[in-house]
Amino acid sequence: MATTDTAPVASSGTANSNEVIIETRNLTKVYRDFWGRQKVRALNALDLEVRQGEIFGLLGPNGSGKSTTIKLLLGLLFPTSGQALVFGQDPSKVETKERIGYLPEESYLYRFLNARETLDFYGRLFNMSAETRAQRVDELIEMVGLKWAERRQLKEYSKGMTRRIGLAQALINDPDLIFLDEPTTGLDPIGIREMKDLILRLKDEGKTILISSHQLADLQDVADRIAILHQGDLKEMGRVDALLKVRDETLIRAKGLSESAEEEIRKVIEKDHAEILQLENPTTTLEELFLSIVQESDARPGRRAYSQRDEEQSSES
Amino acid sequence: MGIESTVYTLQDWLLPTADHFGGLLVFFISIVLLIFFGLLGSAILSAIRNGPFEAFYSVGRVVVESVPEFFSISPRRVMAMTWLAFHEAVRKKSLYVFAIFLLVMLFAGWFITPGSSEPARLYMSLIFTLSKVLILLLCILITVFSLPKDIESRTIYTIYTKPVLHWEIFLGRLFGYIGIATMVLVAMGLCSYIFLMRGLSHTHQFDGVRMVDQGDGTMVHRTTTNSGHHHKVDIGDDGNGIAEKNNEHSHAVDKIEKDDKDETGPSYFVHGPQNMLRARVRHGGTLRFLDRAGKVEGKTGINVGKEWTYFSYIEGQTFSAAIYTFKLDEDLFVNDTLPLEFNLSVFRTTMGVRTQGVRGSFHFRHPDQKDLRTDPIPFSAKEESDIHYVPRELSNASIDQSAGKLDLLKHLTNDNNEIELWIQCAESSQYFGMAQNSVYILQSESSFTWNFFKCYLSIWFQVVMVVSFGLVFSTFLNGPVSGLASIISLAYGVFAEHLKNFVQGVRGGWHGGGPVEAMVRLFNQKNVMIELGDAAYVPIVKRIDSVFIGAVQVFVHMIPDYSLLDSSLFLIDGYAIPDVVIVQQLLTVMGFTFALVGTGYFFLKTREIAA
Repeated sequence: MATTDTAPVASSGTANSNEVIIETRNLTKVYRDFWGRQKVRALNALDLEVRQGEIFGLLGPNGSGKSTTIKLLLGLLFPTSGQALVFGQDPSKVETKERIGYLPEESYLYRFLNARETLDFYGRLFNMSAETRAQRVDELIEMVGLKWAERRQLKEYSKGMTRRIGLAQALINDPDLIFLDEPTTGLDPIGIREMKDLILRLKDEGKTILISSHQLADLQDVADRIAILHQGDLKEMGRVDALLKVRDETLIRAKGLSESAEEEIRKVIEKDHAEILQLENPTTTLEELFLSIVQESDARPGRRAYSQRDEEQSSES
Repeated sequence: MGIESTVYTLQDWLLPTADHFGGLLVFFISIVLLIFFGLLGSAILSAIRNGPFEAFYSVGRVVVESVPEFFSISPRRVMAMTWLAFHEAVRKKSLYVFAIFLLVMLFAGWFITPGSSEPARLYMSLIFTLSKVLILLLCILITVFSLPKDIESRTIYTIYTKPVLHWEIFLGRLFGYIGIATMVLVAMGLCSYIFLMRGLSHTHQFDGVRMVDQGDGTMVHRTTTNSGHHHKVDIGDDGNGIAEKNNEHSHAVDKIEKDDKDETGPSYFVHGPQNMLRARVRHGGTLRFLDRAGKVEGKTGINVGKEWTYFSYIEGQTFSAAIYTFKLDEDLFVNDTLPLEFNLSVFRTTMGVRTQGVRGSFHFRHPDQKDLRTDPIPFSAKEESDIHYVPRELSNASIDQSAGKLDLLKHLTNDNNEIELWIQCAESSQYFGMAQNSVYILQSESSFTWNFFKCYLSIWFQVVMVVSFGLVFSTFLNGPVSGLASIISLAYGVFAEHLKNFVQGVRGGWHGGGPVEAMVRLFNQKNVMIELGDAAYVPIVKRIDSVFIGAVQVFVHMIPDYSLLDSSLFLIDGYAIPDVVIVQQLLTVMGFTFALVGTGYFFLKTREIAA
């Protein structure tokens, strides 16, 4: 499989930044009906590596396999074939779960508990003392800004408040690896900004973060690397800035060119006589990239998108 | 369980004896079968879906991981899960069931006939039935919907992604729901006890002057009519008296001394009911019957037809006798008398004297020296509990005039301290019915309150079973289907005893054969009265049917028999629930719970929770 810039982004984390945190090998998931007949191939031979301190984005339309990937990495689903390793171990191991945090797509929490009880309950599942737990609960409630509603049952919470408390429960154990499934869903613009800031802050603390999102702009802002999935296949993977580079176009910004010189731009370019201030490839938006991959994949199913660019990138590297 | 049940000692119950396999063996066989067929079934299912290699891997993984995971169970996490389940049940208003119970109790008085001849039985039947139905229904409702709802709403994802073992998820819920059910049950028990005590408490007035015609011309003292009944009063020489037994109780009547000399006649104070709520501790023996010629001994007597089959009958004015062998010791004597209680059934073929009971007699014999016996003691059979205080020393003058009095313990017991009690019916054409537990030495009276507690403990055992079953069903079925499965298993459990007896009967001889033989008969047009013949296929058909009924027998023993966990009949009949019964019930429940927790773990572990 050809990938773009698989080297990790430099992290400010203290741990070994080359350490592979998540690894999938030929990970495949086929959903079957009661009689064992294949219903849908949700994920097809996914090979993935996420390294320490990265923010890794999973991008794909509905049914592309990104939720399946996260569920396989959390041990909520069993692979049909292939392997998923988190911290080098089976994801269903207790030792693995001690180090992860998970914010589900919807905040699936116990609606009959209040915020404090919720965090306290999840905290009890980890090996932490009562004092540490109480302190952690206080910190997290403060951090997500729900101090004023901490005694209210979650069934009274708005969607945004539920997302916040969901995030707090994902961080209760100060995890090394955080799975965020659609983290900005249900948040207002301020909330989205706060969520992005928080994600970047967590990265600064050395956490590894796997985000699955429909919000392309969110991923563009925070992710170091992304993988684009479509119909269970990995269509693209690489560093966000590299992926968004349009390689077959050139943008020139020049200053002090006379009108007559404009006539000679072609010559100037050819002969390099003008002062070139900027000469680079323009970037597209992630949204455009995403849509073009999806369209191409629909037109030619099974083919890897942007194969030409892959070749160029391979030759560059 | 009740008076009919044979109460084994713990050792006999656990270990194999002539008439049963013993609890331990049944437990281990069941566990082995459960593991074997559970794994085999899962492997086959998994092989069909994912291929044999994957099936082997997934089943093997569960087996390999289950034991280390079991030993890694963290009490802290189990406590947290318990807390969650408990809170869930409380917040979902499970405690309202108690309000329903209270409401029924408040109006129960409207439907209970105060003049009933067995008021205690009536009250206790009501409270135990009501408590049991409500608490078991609550258990089913809280257990079966919780886990499927968590899975459906995906709340379970947040648990599964935390360091929690499948054991802990199951155990936490189990303890949480048992906890909430226990709370409700304790509240129900307290209210029931108060309801019972207040409902049965009453008194009468008695002036000591007014005499009432009994109907046959004799004049007797009588109390006023309260709670639908009155008592005949017998005043003793000391002025105090007793309001004689009626409606299963009596009252003490005390004379009140007066200072005022002007008033005529004494006044009396009638105390509350006595012996209404009893907890008799029985010292039972073993029973055998002697036929009418007095020659052949057997385990049963005469079958008189459509009667309570528990009782077996002896014929009057024949040599027929019911012989009980008791182990006797010094402690059984009270003031040098042996309290012997009869609960006889009488079958009359002629009406006889209506106002009198059928006459009979009993005597004691040495088990080994048959001529060493006491004189017969005559009695008139009552068809209710009838206590006889037999003097310790009895004469046998009618047999050996030279002999002195015989001491029951010293002279009439053998080396094993055994003594025989012979009961015979003295009236021609009348029959006495007796059963293993219907005649016994009254060892002592235990505390009714303690007995009441033990009865609720038995209900609690049923709670544990129902919660465990409901939880196991909910690990692989959705809410409504698990609810239905739980109700069916409970209903089955209530009738399990009959089914067990039925299957046992079928094993003895299956009229017309099993399902395969029946099908052969259908095709061959041979009715059940015709022999199937000696064709080559006949032994094969019979063999298949025999294996089938064997499998059915195993199955009926693997589903819990709730009648074994019901001690209310002991209490209602006024007997102390033997401690050994409680211990056996506890062990039974522990055995089932152990198997069910394992099954629940297996289903949770193999289930793709997000699929």
